[in-house]
This record gives sequence, structure tokens and C-alpha cells, in this order.
Amino acid sequence: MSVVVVQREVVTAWGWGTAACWSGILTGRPAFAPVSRYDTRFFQSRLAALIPGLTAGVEDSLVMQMLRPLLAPLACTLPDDTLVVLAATTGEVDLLERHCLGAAIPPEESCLTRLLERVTGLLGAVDGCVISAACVSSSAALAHGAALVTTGERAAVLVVACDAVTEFVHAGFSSLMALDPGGARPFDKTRAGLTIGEAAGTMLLMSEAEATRTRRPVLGRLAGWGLSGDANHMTGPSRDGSGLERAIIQALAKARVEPRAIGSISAHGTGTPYNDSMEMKAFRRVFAESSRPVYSVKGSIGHTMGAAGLVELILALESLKAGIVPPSANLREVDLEAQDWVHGTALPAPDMRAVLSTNSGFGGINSALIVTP
Amino acid sequence: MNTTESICIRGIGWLNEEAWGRLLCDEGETCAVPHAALWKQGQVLATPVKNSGRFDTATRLTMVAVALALGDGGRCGVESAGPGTGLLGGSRAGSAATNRSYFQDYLQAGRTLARGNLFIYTLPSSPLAEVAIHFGFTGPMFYAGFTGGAIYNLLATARTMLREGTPEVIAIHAGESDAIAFWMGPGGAASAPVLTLDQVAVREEADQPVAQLAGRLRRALKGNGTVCA
Repeated sequence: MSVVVVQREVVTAWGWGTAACWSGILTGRPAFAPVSRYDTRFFQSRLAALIPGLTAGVEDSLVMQMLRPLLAPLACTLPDDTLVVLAATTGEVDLLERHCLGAAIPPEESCLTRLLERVTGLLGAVDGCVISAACVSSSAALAHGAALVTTGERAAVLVVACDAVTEFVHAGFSSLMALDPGGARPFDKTRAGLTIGEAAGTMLLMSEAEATRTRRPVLGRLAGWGLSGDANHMTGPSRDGSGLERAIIQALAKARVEPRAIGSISAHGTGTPYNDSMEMKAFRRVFAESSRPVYSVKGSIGHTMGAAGLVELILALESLKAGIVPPSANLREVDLEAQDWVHGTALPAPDMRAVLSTNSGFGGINSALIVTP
Repeated sequence: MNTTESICIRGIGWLNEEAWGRLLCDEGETCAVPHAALWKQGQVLATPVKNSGRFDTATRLTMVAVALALGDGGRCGVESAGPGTGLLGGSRAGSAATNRSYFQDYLQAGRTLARGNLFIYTLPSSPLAEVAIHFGFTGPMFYAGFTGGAIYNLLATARTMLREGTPEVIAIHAGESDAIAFWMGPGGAASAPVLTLDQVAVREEADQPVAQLAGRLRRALKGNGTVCA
């Protein structure tokens, strides 16, 4: 049973809407700016990819400010049996920050299950779950949603993903020395870390039969997916990329395509030395026959954590539609391991028929998703 | 959702602050703070757990519950777990307690330096990651939270993972002071009891204490005539 995408929307540091994000990605430039929401003097980097117009410390959390405009158009249009799957890592943790700083906000208001209640309430939906798997959260949510559709358990699944730039997260990544002070440069020879970003997105998955029955336009197909674990280390990926390789092979098998059918790869590409190296090792083994154009958008919109998988899959669909492989953003000099694979300029690809999107996260979680027209 | 469809259970382990149990083998005992008492090497964990000194309570509870479930199914020790095993964790609060500890610690340090060792546990999936590292589980792994019927929905989600091709799944529901783990596989294993989803949990039921759930499961398993003597 084919899983099709019938709706998608996103907000990132490039602004509101898929078109704005895609245009920004094509520039190859970073949408980073110094953070003014909190004091960053003691952090490894002052930069983040921030959504214009969000205000910290008001009634709505940062992620609710992102989600309200995204969810409003969906409220009356979802099929009755739609399962809402929320994906996030820290969600409304800014509410916990405010509690700890003395605000009269109960700490349980920051729980992911509470955010799920708010999201399902906005949508008028009955059934929902929240999935969290570190930086693979929304990829795992998409994979689970696709599984529910193909097993016939659900006719429709709406994946909603979000995470915000908060002092909680910024301080944490800084404590791990994981940030590039000058801004993330994925696959660059002298890359030195990631830049955090914030984003939210939605994607409605259906069976093709349900899409036809409800006369919804098909924007693309989620043709394959795979999830795996490294069982190696809490923060560092398996150095040889074998876990990611397994996830990619699962996705290819599910999509029933050979590696040569993949036109381009949207990598996790955080800009940390270990992650980018690990990914290239996995890609070189799976696509041993010939190189594929590889890009990362995290040098543009930052590492959007729980939202990364969904945002990057939306951009992969745009890439298919436009027949263009976007540039790997903020690249100055490509690392030797990525030479002939990663490019700092957009590439025409009018015959591209499939894009692989990969993500990896803390705890050694890996995901691979394949989209086709 | 077909509540009469089966789930095949290979082992169930549970613990709270005063007791622990393995349900299929009908073993268990009361003891003070089982997750500390059972932590001693050889009792439920055959080999030392790396970095356990930094584990929060949720991670300890999860680790011990999983070890009890594997022991219940006749598998003890790191080497005997299936490598492609998936992990699914659920709780209402997620990593809320750890989040609070981390941020309060950061505030006490004058908002200058956070502790990386606390930060890495501020993800609801972190306890699962530690279990995966210790037992060598390389299958899919994620936290799933629900607005109602936590156990029911957790097991239904695990069932979807099995249908998708994950060879085995361990689903763990953990609260602040208790945890229960279900080691599940696809149907067909001769010695593994088969229960319907609604024998295990009620879809609309709010979270119930693990000891209460364990009691219900013990009765359900005896009703199926499959509990080991």
C-alpha cells in the first residue's frame, strides 16, 4: 500500500511557508543571527537560526507561537480517523525555564504529553501520540505514521513537529562543546560543530486509495523508511556508520529500489566532525557504484532538533518538484571525505526520481526516509 | 483498532519501590528499593553497566525492568539478546524530572555553565539508549507518550513495530518510581503466552500503578493456563 503526502507546511528561520524556506535554502547562505532571548556570553557560540517574530516570555510558549498558525488551516479539514503524531525533543521547555525562574507556571505544563493535548485540542482531534527520539524524532514519527498507513491501522496520519531555540538547549549543547562559534559548516574541511535552530512543520500522510477517495492532491510519496540503533555511545555516532547504513538499506528495501535509483541525499550533516564523517562512510558503502549529490541544510536553517527530519523531508520533496539539488549551505572548502559528493552550489537534476533523507541522534538512533514524486 | 488481536509476550518484568516480579515465571519478592538492590552484579544484570554512576532514576528503573523481562523469558545476560531488538518507552512525564534537575543545576551555576552529563538525559529516549548500549539492541528506538490509555497504546505501538518487521520489541512503561517491561515477539513461539490487547490494558484507562497492572496480568496469564509453575 502506497503512502502519499497530501499536505505539508513549515516555518523556519527563513520565515513562514515552504516557498520561503526553499528560496532561502537555495541561496546557500546561513540564516543565523546572534541570540538576544537570553544571555549567551558564556556559551560556545552566540548564534542560532531563529524564526522572526517569536517572543519569549509571553503566554504562549515558543513552539505554540509556531504551531497555532500552522495548525489553524488544518482544524476542519482532517479526515475523522486521523491520528495526530507530535514529534519533539524538548517541546515547551521554555515553560519549565520560567517555572524554575519563579513564574507561576506548573512544571508539568512543559511535558510533551501536555503539548500533545494542546495540539490535538487545536485540531479537534481525538487520537494522538507524541514521539521523541532525539534528533530523529520527526523521522521516527513519519516512519511510524507510514507504518500505520501501510498496515491498514490508519487511513491518515498527521505528523506535527516542532522544537525551539531555548537557553535550556543552547546551554546544553555548549556544555558538550558541540557548537561552532562561527556557525555550522556541514561537510567543510574545518567544520567545528553545529548551530541550533528552531522550526515547526506538518505533513499529512494517507494511503493512495484514501487520497483518491477524498480527492486530495498527491505532493509526493513516502516510499521507504528505516530506523536503527548504533548501541554504541550516548552522544557520539558509531564511527563506521554501520548503524546508519542498516537504516538506509531498510529504506531501500521498503521502497523496492536499488541504490542507483537515488538521485540525491539530504544528509543529517550537523557540521560536527564525527557526524559528517560517519555519514560519508555510510553513503560511500551503500552507494559504492557511484557518488550521489549530498547536501545538508543545517548550514542554512541550523539543527532544528526534533523538527529536523520533517523539515528536511519537506525540502526533499521541493527538490524533487524543482528538479534541483540544493547547495550544501555555508560550505567554504569541502572535506576530502565528501569530495565529489557534497557541493556548495545548486545542481540541476531534472531526471531525479528519488531522494534519500537521513538523520541521526543522541543515543545512536538513525533514520532513513525515501521520497519519490 | 482491533482489541481482540493478539500480542505474543515472551517476558514481563516489573518493579516499584518495594517489590519486583517476573510474571511468566511467577517469581518476585518484596524488598526495599529494588532498583538499587537488584543493581548488584549478577542479580539481574550479568555484566557491569557502563557509566551507571550518572544514571537518573528513570534510567535505572528502565534498565532493571528490561533485565527482569528478559530473565522472565529465560534470557539472562548481554550476550543472549537479539541484536535487532527494538525499544519503545512510554511515560506521562517523559524526562520532566531530569529536565528540572538539569536546569536548576544550571541556574545554581549562575547561568554560565551547564553540565553535559545531565543534559544528555533531558531526552525521553535517553533511558532507552542506555539500555540499547548495554544489551546491544540495534533496532528502532523511540519514546511514545499518549493522552490516555498509556499501557494499551504503548503495546499497540509495539505491535505495529513487530508487524513492520522488527524481530522483537521491548516496551517499557516507567513512572517516577515504578516500571514494567514487556518483551514481545511475533506470534508462533510455542512457549510464549498470547494475550489480546484488551486482556492486558484498558484503552481509556488512566495510568495505573505498575503493581496493580502486574496483579491483573498475573490473573490474565493464569486464565490462559500458561504461567510457569
